Amino acid sequence: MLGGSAAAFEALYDRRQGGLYRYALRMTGSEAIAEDVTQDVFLELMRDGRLYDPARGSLKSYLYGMARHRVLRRLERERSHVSIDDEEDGGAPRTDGRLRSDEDPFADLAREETVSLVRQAVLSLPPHFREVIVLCHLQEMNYADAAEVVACPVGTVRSRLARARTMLVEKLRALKGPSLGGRAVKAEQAI
Amino acid sequence: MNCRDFNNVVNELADGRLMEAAAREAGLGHASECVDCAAQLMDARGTSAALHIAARADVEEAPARVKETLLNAFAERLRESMEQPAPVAERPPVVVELPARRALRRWDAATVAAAAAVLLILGSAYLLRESRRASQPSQMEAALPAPAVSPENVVGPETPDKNKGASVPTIPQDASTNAAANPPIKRTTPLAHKAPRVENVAAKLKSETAARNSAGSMRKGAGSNGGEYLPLTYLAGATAMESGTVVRVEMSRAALISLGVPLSAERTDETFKADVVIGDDGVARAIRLVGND
Repeated sequence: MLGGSAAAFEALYDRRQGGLYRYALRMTGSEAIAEDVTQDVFLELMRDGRLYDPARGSLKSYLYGMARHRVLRRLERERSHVSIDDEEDGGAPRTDGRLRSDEDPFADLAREETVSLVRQAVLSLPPHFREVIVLCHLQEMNYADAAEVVACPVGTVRSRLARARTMLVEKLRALKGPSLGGRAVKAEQAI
Repeated sequence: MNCRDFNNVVNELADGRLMEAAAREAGLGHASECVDCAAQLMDARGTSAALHIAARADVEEAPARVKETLLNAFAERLRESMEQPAPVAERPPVVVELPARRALRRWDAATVAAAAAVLLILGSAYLLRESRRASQPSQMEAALPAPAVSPENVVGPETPDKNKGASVPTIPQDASTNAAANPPIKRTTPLAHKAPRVENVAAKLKSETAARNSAGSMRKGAGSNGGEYLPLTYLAGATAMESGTVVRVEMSRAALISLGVPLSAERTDETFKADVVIGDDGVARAIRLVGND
């Protein structure tokens, strides 16, 4: 890609854009910001890609690190916009049609409700706890990769994650009541 | 395992992550005995399941316009890079050998400084020499026409007569003779009666031109007390003579002519009395005719 191959650049974009976009979307709750962040990350890679040092980490972590930097900056600047976007969406996150099952509409409703509750709860977490939930659970990164992105030791990721999980339970319980565990389990069984 | 230890592993237990079998068994055993930890494990499992559902539902991608924009930007950047001239690193260096240039600058500065110092020294020496030259004629003029010690006093009983026989020379001879070229001088006074030292007499007396101009006055003044002194030597650097001795001598006309005294070439065997100024170095510096017998 650095050698000027458009095909290589396109392949890299196709491979990494989804994760970066979703990371920014879950962190900010804004599709516009997620779109800007994704575009900015690849523009910077195009411009200053030679700054990437493979010895310091994987390209995936490098891209997520750039995305994280932009996300945190946007959160500081446009924190109020997050809630506005949520209000515009009516607090109902979009779900993929592939998750819907025509056989059990009640199960679909349970899944959509669960997904919506989780996304709302994640967005309500402080950014540093939010990002470990997004990276380790929603992006399904291992602790080591998440530690590279967040630029902190693995132990810090682990402790933050434990704290974030505790906070997330409280948030979900506050949003939906004490029956969260059973509802989520039923929804997962329906999948 | 107690509740605190269970709290450290509850998420791993709920997520089903890889962990040591012993720790897993201990945790599950504690949850089966502790109601609170069992409820905590159930909440953790519910949260893990909810997060898993949310992760499975997380399938959004960036809009297609983002990719289009980026690909266009990449193509534009690639086109610009191909249109640009060669990178700076590949261009021939415009400035080379900067250290040498710096050294040259330092050398130039040192050279200029040295040249300035030399010029300053030469200039000072020149000014000092000029100032000495400017002060010497006055000393000479003050000393020669009226010496501190009169030659008559030096000679003592011998009184010079009027220089009647001395004819007026028409063309003065070259007076630039040195001590080695001087002919032997016949002393008319013994050395024991050497005259007292003449202090502050200029060594550089007068030039040949001055001697020529003073030929007439020399002849005229040579009647009794003598005329002006005629310089005999032009020693380089001997611009000052702090002291000297005036000695009256008797010399033949030919000898006087050879010393530059402006006399005619007639009767070359005829003798004249003259006063000779001799410096401390023994070199005759000037001569004047005195009244001839």
